[in-house]
Amino acid sequence: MSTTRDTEDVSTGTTSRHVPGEPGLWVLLFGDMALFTFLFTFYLHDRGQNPRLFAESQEHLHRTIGVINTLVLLTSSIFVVFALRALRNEHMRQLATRLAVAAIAIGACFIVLKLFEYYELVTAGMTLTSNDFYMWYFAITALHLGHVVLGLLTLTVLTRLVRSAKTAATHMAFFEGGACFWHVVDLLWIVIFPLLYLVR
Amino acid sequence: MSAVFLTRASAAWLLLAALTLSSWVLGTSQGSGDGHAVASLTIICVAAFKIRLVGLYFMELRDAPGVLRWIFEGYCVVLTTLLGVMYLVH
Amino acid sequence: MMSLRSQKVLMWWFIVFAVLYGLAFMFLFRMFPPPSAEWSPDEIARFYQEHGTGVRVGAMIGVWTGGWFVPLAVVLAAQMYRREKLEEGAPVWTWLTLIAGGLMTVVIALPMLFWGVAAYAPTRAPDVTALMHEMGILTFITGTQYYIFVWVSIALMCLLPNRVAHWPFPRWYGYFTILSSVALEAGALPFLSREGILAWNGLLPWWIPISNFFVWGPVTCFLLLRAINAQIADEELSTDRESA
Repeated sequence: MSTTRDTEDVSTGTTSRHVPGEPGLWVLLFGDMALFTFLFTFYLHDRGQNPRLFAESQEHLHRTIGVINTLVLLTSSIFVVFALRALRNEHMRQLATRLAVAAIAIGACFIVLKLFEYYELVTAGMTLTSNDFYMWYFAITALHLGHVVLGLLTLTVLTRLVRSAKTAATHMAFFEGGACFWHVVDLLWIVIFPLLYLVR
Repeated sequence: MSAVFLTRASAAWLLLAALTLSSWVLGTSQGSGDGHAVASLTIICVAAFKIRLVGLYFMELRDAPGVLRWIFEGYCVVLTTLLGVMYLVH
Repeated sequence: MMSLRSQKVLMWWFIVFAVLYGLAFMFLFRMFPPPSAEWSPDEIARFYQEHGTGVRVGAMIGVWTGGWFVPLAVVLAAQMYRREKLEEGAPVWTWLTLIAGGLMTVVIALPMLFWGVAAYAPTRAPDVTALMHEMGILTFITGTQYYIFVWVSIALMCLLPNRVAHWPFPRWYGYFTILSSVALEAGALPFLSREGILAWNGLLPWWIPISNFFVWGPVTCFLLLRAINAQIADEELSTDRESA
């Protein structure tokens, strides 16, 4: 069974392109990305006012946990990609559920690691109101963490949906859409980690 | 099996992991101040490139209609420029 | 037919009142954005002494127009009811929208009242004036949860299969509504800080939600009025057929 998605129209030789999920979803995805971009921009602006404070405060962050979390989300994302591919393949459908569950489990590790990071920082006396850098750090990462939770909930709901034997076109669109949201969550962290933890 | 796992996205994942580790090493190397400007800008550019990989290969925008893909590509360019400029402006 | 024409009246009632409220907010109260949360009580008292008349006139306008969300919530509920009445059981999302409309109005109407009270006796102890000032601002900015009841209802209906003609909102609007809900949840943050991005005039609780609102408002009005007009045209067509 073919797993390609471009359906070639033999008569005209054109390839029909496919919107992942559905068009309306991209209002949410791009909107969300724009929102975070505003935050990134203003973060760097505030950093520019006080680069030394930001650089010194940054040293207290757990860069190792941050990089592990980046790899965690990347891995979770690729498993979602695998799950989607399995879903499209009639013979591999059973595998799809297991791959999705793996993606969720891996993604959940992000939450554990993040909460541990927060705990370490707070018990060392660094909180939201300690200084401007920490305000930004906690605000941006907490907002992102909220997205991680929402993303995992979405993936869980979709995995249960997909477990039913039929995979109607709408179900596929839902799964694609949910997968794309999860990839946006991954994508955002790909900027957040270097921006907050490494750039100075 | 290979139909599921052997895909461009997997190659992208390997590259993403490698870039992540490289940026991390670069970012944790020296101190701060002017010495770190080149490293920081590099890290910003690499991050934007990584986003592009996620969009094109994970989110399947390579096969999406032109409009969607070019909005995304445009976003990557805007992000790089915006972050680079804001980083440099003091 | 009467219901549809009434809905149009309600829509325009909402628009006119919201615009007047907004103009008062910006020019009479000078709260766009709210002044720094780091003002001392003396600075706050001075603000109400300097702009006392403007604030009291604004409070009068605010009391008249502060209910602008009620007619909108009613129209939204009426449109939702067209869908929910096709199902068995209680039309819960319609009810949720109605109640949320009422409760949100409390949050919208009270701030101008509080600021009016602050200006009512400008020579009061500055701490008391500061209290009314803060109560007004924090009520307006942090009280966003009731909008979200309405938006969840709308988003759900936009994304679920639809069987009625001229449902006002396309699917992308459902996603936009989800985004709006996320943006507005940040309203609660000002309790955490008086300056920076979490403050009541900061990026997250003020600028992002208010920018979103300026897009959401006109788009929603346009879509609702278009749908209502289409529904009116449909009814006229069917009554013409009946009388023919």
